[in-house]
Amino acid sequence: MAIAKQSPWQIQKAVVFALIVRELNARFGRFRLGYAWAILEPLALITILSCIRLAIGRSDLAGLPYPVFFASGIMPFLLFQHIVQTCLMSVEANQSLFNYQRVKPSDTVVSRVIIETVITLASGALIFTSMYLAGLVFTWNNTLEFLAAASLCVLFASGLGLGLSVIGPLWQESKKIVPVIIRPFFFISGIFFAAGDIPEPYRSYLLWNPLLHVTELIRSSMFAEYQEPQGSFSFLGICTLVSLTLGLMIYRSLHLRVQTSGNIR
Amino acid sequence: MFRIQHLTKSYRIASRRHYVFRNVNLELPEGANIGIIGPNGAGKSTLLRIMGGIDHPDSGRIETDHSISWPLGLKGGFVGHISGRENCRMVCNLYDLRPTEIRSKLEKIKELSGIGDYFEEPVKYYSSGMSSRLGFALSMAFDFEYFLIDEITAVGDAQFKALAKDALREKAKRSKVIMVSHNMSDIRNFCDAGIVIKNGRLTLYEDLEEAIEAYLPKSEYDPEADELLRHKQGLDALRLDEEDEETADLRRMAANHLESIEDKLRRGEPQTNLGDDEFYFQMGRLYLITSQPQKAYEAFEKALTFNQTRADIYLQIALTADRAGRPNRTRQSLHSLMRLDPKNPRGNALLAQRYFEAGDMTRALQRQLRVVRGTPRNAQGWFQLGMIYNAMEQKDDAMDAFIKAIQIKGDNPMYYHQLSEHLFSIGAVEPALQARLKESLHRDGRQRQKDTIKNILSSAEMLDEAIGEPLPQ
Repeated sequence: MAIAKQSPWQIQKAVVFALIVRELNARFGRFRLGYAWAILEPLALITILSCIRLAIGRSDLAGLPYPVFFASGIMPFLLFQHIVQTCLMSVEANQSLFNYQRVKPSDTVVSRVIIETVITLASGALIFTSMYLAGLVFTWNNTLEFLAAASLCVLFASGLGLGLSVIGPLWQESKKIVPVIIRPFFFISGIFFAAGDIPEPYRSYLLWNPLLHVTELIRSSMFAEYQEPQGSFSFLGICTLVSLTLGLMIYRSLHLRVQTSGNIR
Repeated sequence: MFRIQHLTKSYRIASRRHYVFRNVNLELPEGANIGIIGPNGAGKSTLLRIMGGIDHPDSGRIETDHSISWPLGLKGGFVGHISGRENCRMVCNLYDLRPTEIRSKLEKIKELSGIGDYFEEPVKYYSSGMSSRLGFALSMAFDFEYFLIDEITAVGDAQFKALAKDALREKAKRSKVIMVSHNMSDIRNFCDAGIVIKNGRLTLYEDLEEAIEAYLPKSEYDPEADELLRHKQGLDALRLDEEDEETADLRRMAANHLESIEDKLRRGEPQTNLGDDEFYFQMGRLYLITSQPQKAYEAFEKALTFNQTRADIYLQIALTADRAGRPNRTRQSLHSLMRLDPKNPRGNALLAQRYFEAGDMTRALQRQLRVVRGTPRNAQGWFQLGMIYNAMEQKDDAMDAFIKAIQIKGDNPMYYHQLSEHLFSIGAVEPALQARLKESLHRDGRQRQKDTIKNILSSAEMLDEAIGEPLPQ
């Protein structure tokens, strides 16, 4: 069987599929903990935050039971964090695969984004279903809005991830710096507060953070009970556009250098 | 169509730009297997990687409408923590094969690689030989129009090499090969045309032999010198014909042992306490005294696959490769020997002899001086030095060297012979020396030969016993 001529689209489809299969194999094949970890990490964070909250002693936040409130903040944040950080490492983690000319750095980014998104959606569905069955009260609001908010979150992260995927191998310090930059966002992205509860003028300052909009939009689209939603689709949309543009520009200008000998040691 | 257009490639080394290629243009001949040859660091592998699309030039491009394999080289291109099977499945996925196809390919790959149950183990547990065998088997499962091969035939044991060659030859019927190798006989085996890379230039030779000739320095590869060497070996063979009864008996005994060992080998892998390299090394010496230079050469090569750090193995290969019809291998192993042990007197002596026969007296002298400096009590070294001075017309130096040889070892007829010739040429006729030559030619030459054979024979007995009964395979 000769190697058939394929269109770039067909090639990329095959490559991304192959990478996803290999990544799932690697991540979940040998350690059974792999799948469990996808649930345990958010669950642990939710538990810790809930315990703190319980110690302070109030039963709901902006109209939502606090475990539900925390879960809806943590899941999109973890998704963002995972996408950015795995993309930062994606070229080096797949170094041996660049031996095959079909594999390009962008393929590793696409496959990692898909994997992270699917895993987060699956574990999120599991977590919220079990909370609902455990008796926590919330009402599903708007599926289309939720899909739009989730897509913007994924695209926003992907733009950064795409740029970082080629910066990572060329500038080793970035692997230390990027996680340090992301960490403070855990505290200012509305994971354990609602933007509506913050008094002005601080609320307006905080709303410059696109991740806060992600959290707000996810919550307001998921739950009918959510009070005083502050998220703006247009602001997040513009941020996503900027992130994608920047990411693609960086990728375009650096991807050949990543795949050229003599640049990476 | 396969074109290299305006290719420029450079590396920054210690803040200076080093150009591997500078504006190179070349059109590869259609339908030819191409060997890329050149000195170390000339950019052979880089060119191959650029052709394979996994490295990028500073400027210029490769234009082709053929399907081209990934460059298959010593590094496998595998993910360490998943099994060989999963790795191969992934590559099949990359090339969009259907699941049914993949299943049958995987079995073929497992069979050709010959790594057995390791196929199911994570690749990080593989030896480097195993992963390059798997890499080779994997690529053979695809039908690219061009296969890019980087020194792949250098890995693996003799059995795998044979398998690999068969597989490649089978492929060569439908596909073409572009290969980088330092082994000229591999290149000769597979290629019709050659590209020589030297000093940032690519030169295409439609005739491979021309390429090899252009690449190898003249003084080291001289057909006339090879002819001389063969002639000399013919004389060696003649001398063996007229040996006495006792020596012939010794040889027959050695041959018997050899047959018995070979028989056991056919039934299984050797089980000796000698170490595989030493075992095949001794086998090689046995083949040598039973006048089977071809088999001796093969045994030494096999010994080499187990241990690449033994100077004596390279030396024996250098001594036998010519007779096995592999003159280039002699050159290579001499180089390896000198790299391993630059002061090795026998290596230097052999090099000196080759330069001598190629007519390059300056270099021969240089080498031979190292020999006598390293082992001043070796008469043969002084004798050879004398021969070189003789050829250089430095009569006085030659005379001194011959006399030195005779002082150290007074019973070798050849020394007297040379000395007498020499004296004759300068007008001092010494018939006494001539007579002594003839007398000792019959006595001492034979005795020395007998001693060597006895020595090797004792190791043959040891081998024969040490090998024991083989384990069935």
